[in-house]
Amino acid sequence: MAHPMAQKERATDMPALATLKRNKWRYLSLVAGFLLFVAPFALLGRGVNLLIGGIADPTIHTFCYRMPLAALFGGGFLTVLGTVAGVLVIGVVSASFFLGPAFCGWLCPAGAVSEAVSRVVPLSERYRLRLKDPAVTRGLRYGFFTGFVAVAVVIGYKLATIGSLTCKYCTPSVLQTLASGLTGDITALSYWHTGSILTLFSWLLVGGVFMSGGRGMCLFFCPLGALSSLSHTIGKKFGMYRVAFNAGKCAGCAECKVSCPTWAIGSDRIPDSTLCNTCRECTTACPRGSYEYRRGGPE
Amino acid sequence: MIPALVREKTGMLAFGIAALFPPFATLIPASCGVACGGCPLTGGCLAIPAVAAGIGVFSSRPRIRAIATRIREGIAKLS
Repeated sequence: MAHPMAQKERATDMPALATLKRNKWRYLSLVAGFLLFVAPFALLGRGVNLLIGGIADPTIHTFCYRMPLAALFGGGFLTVLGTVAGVLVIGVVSASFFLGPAFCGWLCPAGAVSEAVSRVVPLSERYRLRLKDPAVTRGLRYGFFTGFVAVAVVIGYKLATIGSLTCKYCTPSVLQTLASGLTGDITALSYWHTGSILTLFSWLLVGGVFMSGGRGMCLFFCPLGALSSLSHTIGKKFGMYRVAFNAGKCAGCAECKVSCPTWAIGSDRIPDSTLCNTCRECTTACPRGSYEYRRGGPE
Repeated sequence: MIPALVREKTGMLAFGIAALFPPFATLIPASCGVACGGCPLTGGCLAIPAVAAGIGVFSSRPRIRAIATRIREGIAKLS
């Protein structure tokens, strides 16, 4: 007999406390990600400074997500290969091949803050956008990524003089200046300009508050997220770790769809690896254990 | 149920639109990243497409549409 909720796919507001308890390790990890990357804490940056004798102020810029990618496609990757940021990007994309984009789902402070804002703001799900078809979400995500690569090529090979997309709309920079400003470093706010205001607007308001799951920026504007998911998709074909769906256990309650912050679960319930960030919210939300994080095997 | 072909076409359309976004985004604010400042709006005009898109998404919700219809009907009665 079908689950009662299968009659109509619910777009419920998940009970916040239950969700918090179920996924406590992920949320603790996201807090740890904030402390590791964002100044004034920047524990990882401080660690790196101790290790290599660096003198630069450790901030999230120490681990820039975007410049190494722009350099990769713009023909200058060798220049960032030995940098801390280059190592981070290579590490994240390589780890995604084996384990899925766990950095996005478990550590990234930019994604964590917009997701937290989405969960904290008491706006009903009916006022939030959630694209039901992963094909459309995928199209938007990789469309932007293709455009990002095209701009990086144009700038890198000096085909035209246009402004950089990498730093102009940088979510981590906006996060860093906000964190620095709120913790007493008022000079950080001198960074603000039109691009950063637009980024803040699309990151926390449009992508955070008005998109279900609060991962709008990650889904549509993050090149590292898109590349990590591509790496994960290739890794999945080689039998690496992924979130697998067991249709035999599914009761059709749609809790998985409702809980997925990256809209990776469509009507067939199979997580779309080009969108999934292996947050594993579906594995904890499913009352019948239909989802499992494992290596290889059939879907 | 949307046929797979239509779904793929929609996905491709979404891809095309999104692919145009980054090149255009490089053309707005000044290349140094500073607000353009060419007029008293100081770059505020750039928020117009985002606000319009937000209103479009928000007003497509059935409940909002119903409220808007009731407001229109109320105005019609008053006039």
